[in-house]
Parts: sequence; structure tokens; C-alpha cells
Amino acid sequence: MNPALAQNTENTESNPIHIRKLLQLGLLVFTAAGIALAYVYVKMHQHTLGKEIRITEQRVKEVRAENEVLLAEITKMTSPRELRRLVAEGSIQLVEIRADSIARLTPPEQATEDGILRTAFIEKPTQ
Amino acid sequence: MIKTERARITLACAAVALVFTAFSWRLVHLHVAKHEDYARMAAEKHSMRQTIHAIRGFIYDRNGEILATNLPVRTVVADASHIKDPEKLAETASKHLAIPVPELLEKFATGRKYIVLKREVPEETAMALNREMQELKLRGIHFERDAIRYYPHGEMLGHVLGFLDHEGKGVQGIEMTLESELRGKDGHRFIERDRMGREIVPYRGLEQPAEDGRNIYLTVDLGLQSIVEGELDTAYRDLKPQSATAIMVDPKTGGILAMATRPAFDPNHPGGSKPEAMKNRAIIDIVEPGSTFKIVPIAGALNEGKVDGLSTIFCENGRFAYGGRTLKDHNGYGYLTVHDIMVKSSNIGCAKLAMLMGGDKFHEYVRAFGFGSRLGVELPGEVAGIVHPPARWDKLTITRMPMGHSVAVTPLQITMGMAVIANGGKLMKPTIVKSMASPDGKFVRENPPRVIRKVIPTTTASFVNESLVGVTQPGGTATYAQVNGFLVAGKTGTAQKVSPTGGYTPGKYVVSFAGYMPAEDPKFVCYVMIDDAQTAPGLNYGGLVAAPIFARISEKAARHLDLVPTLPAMPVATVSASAN
Repeated sequence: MNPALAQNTENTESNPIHIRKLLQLGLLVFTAAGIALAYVYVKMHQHTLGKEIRITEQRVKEVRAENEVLLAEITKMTSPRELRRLVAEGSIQLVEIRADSIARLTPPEQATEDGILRTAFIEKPTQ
Repeated sequence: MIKTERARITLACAAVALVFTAFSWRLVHLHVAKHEDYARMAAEKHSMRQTIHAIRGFIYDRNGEILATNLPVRTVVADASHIKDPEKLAETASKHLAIPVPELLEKFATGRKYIVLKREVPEETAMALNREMQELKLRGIHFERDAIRYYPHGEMLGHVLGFLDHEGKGVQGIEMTLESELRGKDGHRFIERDRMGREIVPYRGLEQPAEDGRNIYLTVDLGLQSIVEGELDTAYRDLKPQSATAIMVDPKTGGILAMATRPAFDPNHPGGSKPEAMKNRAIIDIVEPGSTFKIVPIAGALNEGKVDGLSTIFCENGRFAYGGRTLKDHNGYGYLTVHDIMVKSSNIGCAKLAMLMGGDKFHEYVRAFGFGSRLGVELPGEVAGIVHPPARWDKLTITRMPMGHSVAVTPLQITMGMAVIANGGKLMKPTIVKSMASPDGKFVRENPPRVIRKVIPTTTASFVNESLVGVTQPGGTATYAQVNGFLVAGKTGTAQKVSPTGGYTPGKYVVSFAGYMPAEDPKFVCYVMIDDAQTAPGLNYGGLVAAPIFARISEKAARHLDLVPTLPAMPVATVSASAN
């Protein structure tokens, strides 16, 4: 090798790659990108959740409304006035309660010859 | 030279620093001190204020049966700027909303952003329309939430519950009296919408939650109310009176168990009712009570020691000339005990008892029994009645008032007056509100019974009670008020109707019966009043018209309340099991 050239090569300033700095920069960029992506993801997720919340709220309102409508209908159908009307037009019929079908938390006072009779107590039918 | 340059630099730097400091201070001021204001302004500019409607409180009876509820409905609104295919949309909406297609197209053609197509559309209709629109990918119609007040029992208890006006404000009954408790307070939130008009939930702004109205529990028992109304309906149909009124109260608490008036109206459709049908006559109408008022002079004279159980009063053989007029009894009686004066309902006997007391003292007792003043029930429009002070009496008043003339009272006052005897001498405040509760049940406010005053001692009340029992026994004026298995106490009333032009209307009577049961330990006081019943001449008496209605109500009420009979049961026909 030409000695002059060899000397020239040795004197040339090198341009080394600073791996450490590169990694630091890369990490910084990667972190920033990650944060940005995470932000976008969170935002998207937030919107998706918002949509789900809206749909769920809507459904809750609908169910509540349906419940109120049904409750009102049941109340109307079981109203004493309505029941009387149904009895009068023959749609439903009153059936005598059998004594053995009555369950009482406090036992009824038995009817005696001259005596006390609980109002809801059914006497044995006379033949 | 150098010094000057330095000074200039320092000055420039100071100026820059000052400017930036000012900006910084302003920035901090805007972001911190003024944050709330500007956030609200921004929200108002970019978003819309959505009202969160408070739910009106329900009304229940004492057992939790629903009396008034809210029915969700929708207001159907169109936004013409979102409509792409008006013909198809009109055709679809027309089927569900029962609005002609040309009418809808005309509305869409206005191009407005808010067009109300129909109000009070049932929830299921709105949902069906919404589903079909989604299937056909149509848009431009929105559904706003709304609610209407619904009374599932129709006419029943209509006068007590009242109804709402078109703005949702109570205009009668409990709906009016407790408007502030029932209404609640609307809330709001700021929201933003996407181009489809849907809310963007993450941008939901400041929110003020709604405070729902309180639920009201009444003292009314729906079962008893049904019994009372059923009997009143029958009486109204058969006797064709101008009006019929019945009240049932618990004498120990003053709680109103049932209150009904005919004619009645359906609070679900108040617009279709006549004003006369909407009057709660139990508290608004005033009538001359007739003989039911005799409890006052008898209790007063006994309590003042003017008479006792053994005293007799000469009843002038049925004709008592006083003040230039003749006071008559239905039958001629000689000497009667105080007990018999009540049992025979002697006008002359009662007049003499009042005269023994003197006008001032008698007036004191009339007022003490609650007549002539509002009793304070939680219903609008209660009137005080008319009880003139002795200074304004004429010569005849002392003989007329003891038999329930020259005085005007409400049916509620008579009922509470009878409750004084039933509960041992206390005038209770009539109440129809049992309690109030917040929707979550955390807040509960009870309305405890309140004694207005002690009117007479228990011994006096007990004596009058025995006399009132005699009224329903053989020889009394109200044997038709008897109930199988129970001792009934009560008093009939038959008063000629006061003519609007003065004096009395011949042949027209207000007949009544006020009684309670069981007499030994009363569970309820019931008052029945029939105004101008169309009966055969000579049969329009309280004992013949009102007492049987009382008996039927009381018999059914005893079954409903499961009262233990206190008397041997009379023979009754039993249903054969082999009815086939």
C-alpha cells in the first residue's frame, strides 16, 4: 500500500453511528407513536363505549317504558271496577272457596250452634 | 454608550417579560378562575341542552295498590332537513300514526327542522314505526319521550285523585294539593349530536340530574272504596237522585278509608265531563244535616249536666208551639228519656235539650264538634259550612238547629262528628294522605293521626253510643241499618231541600245515615247521603233509603276487613254444594 495513502486513511475523520443516541431517539419516537396510537385507541374505544352506553340507556328506557305500560295494564285489568264488569258480562265467574282451600296464618274461630263465625269461614253446605 | 445600550436591552426585556407575564396571568385567569363560566358558554354554543324530565310520583292506596301512574308516550317529530325520500317516509308514517299521506307531505315540504307530527303516541306504536323506518333505511322522524298521567281505575276515586291539565299540573284533588311533592324537579344535561342526530356520549357535558317526584300513599283502602262505589252506583241507578255521597273513615285515626260521589267523572278524560260531575260533594257541598245533627244537643246537654240517663223530657205530644210557630215530631210523644229522644228522633226533645243548655253553650258544642270550620283535609276546596253565632239567631233557631236545620254542613263534617262519638269523644283531623316516600324509598314521611280537640269525655260518648245503638234496634228509626252478626250504631237524617230562592222545596229531601260498626269497638264510620231520591211518596226517609245502603256497605266492609262478629249470627241461607 502506498504509505502516503495509508497515512491519509488514518487521518480521515470517522462518522460513527451513535447507537445509544439512535436507540434513545428511536425509543422516544416509538414512545410518542405509542402514546399517539394509544390515544387514538382510547378515543375510539371511548366512542365505542359511548355508543354502547347510548344503546344500553335506550334499551333501559324502553324496558322501563314497557314495564310501566304493562304495570298500568295489569292494574287496570285487576281493578275492582274492571273485575265487576267482567263478572257482570260473564267473562269471569266467581267460584265459592272451598273450606279446605283456605290457608290461614291465624286459625279461624269455629262456628258453634249459637256462636261466633269468622266472616271468611265457610260452613258445611246443607243438603 | 454601553450603559445606554444595557439600559435599552433591560427595558426591552422587561417589556417583553411584562407582556408575557400579562398573557400568562390572563391565561391562568381564563383557565382557572373563569373555567366554569367559559366551559358553560362553550357547552351552550357547541352543544344543546337536553332536559331530563322528572318522573311524577305515583299515588297508591294504603296497601300499595296503584291509583295514579304515568304512561310513557312519544311525541313524533320530523326534521325535514334529514328527509331523503319524503313520499316513502310519509307512506310508512301514515300507517302507524293514522295521518293522511298528503298532510304529512305538506308538513315535510315546509323544510323546517322541528315539525310535531303527533303527540301522545303510544310507546308500542312509536316503536313499530321506528323499526319499520330502520328496515327501510328511512330517516327524518324522531321520537321524543313524554308521559301522560293514567288512572287505571277510571272513575273510581276520581274526585279524590283529581287530574292534570295540558301542562301536566294538578288541577283537582290530591294531584293539586300535593303538586309540589308529586311533580319533582326537571334536570338537564348538555349533549352534542352527530350528523344523524344521535348523541355523542363522550361529549356529554355538565349534568344536573332530575329529582323525581315523591310517591304518595293514601289512607284509602281500594277494596273498601270499591264496595262504597259499587253500592253508590246501584243507588244512583235505582233511586235516580241528583247526587249521592258516601264517606268511610277510621274513627280512631281520622283516616279516610273511602270517599265517593255520584255523578262522577273519569280523570283520564276530564274534558268530556260536566262541571257538576267533577265536584267532590263530600267536602264542597253544604246541606242541612237533619236528624244526624241530634248527637250534638244530646251530647252537649249530658256533658253539661243538664240531664242524665234517668232524666225525662216532655215532648209535648208531638206539637210544640214556640216563637210563634209549631215544632212537630213525626209521632206524638209524651215524656221521653234522653236515650229515647235519640231512638225516636224527637225534634221537640232535642230542641228542649238545647234550650236547657242555652244558645251560647249549644253553639259552643256545635263548633266543638267541628261544624262551621274547615277540618283541614288534604283536598282542595273544602268549605267551612254555615253556623251562625247566637247573636244572629232568630227566635226559632234554638229549636231548629238541634234537629239539623238552620245550619249547613259538609258530609265530611257530619262523618267526623259521628266519629267523635265512635272514638270516645275526640275530634280527629280527617286525613287522606298516609305517607310520602321518595322513589328510592330512602325518604319516608308519615302523616300521624292528629286530635283536633277533646269534645266530650268518654262517659258521655259512651252514653250517646248506646242511644245510637238503640236507633238501629226494633223501635228505632233505622232498623234497616242492621248488619247480621254486628251491633250497629247510627242516626238517620231527613231534611227538606233548601230552595235556591229561599225556604224549602216541597217534596224534595236530602236523606242520610251516619253510623259505625261494630258499636263496641268501631272500625269504621260510614256516612251515606242521597240528595232527592226518586222514591214513592212517603218513603223518602233516611231510615228507608240511606240506612239500607249503609247496611250493605257495612256488611261487605266487615268481610273485607275480616271483622269478628260480636252478635250471634242470624240464620242465613247457605249455598248448596250440589248446585248442579
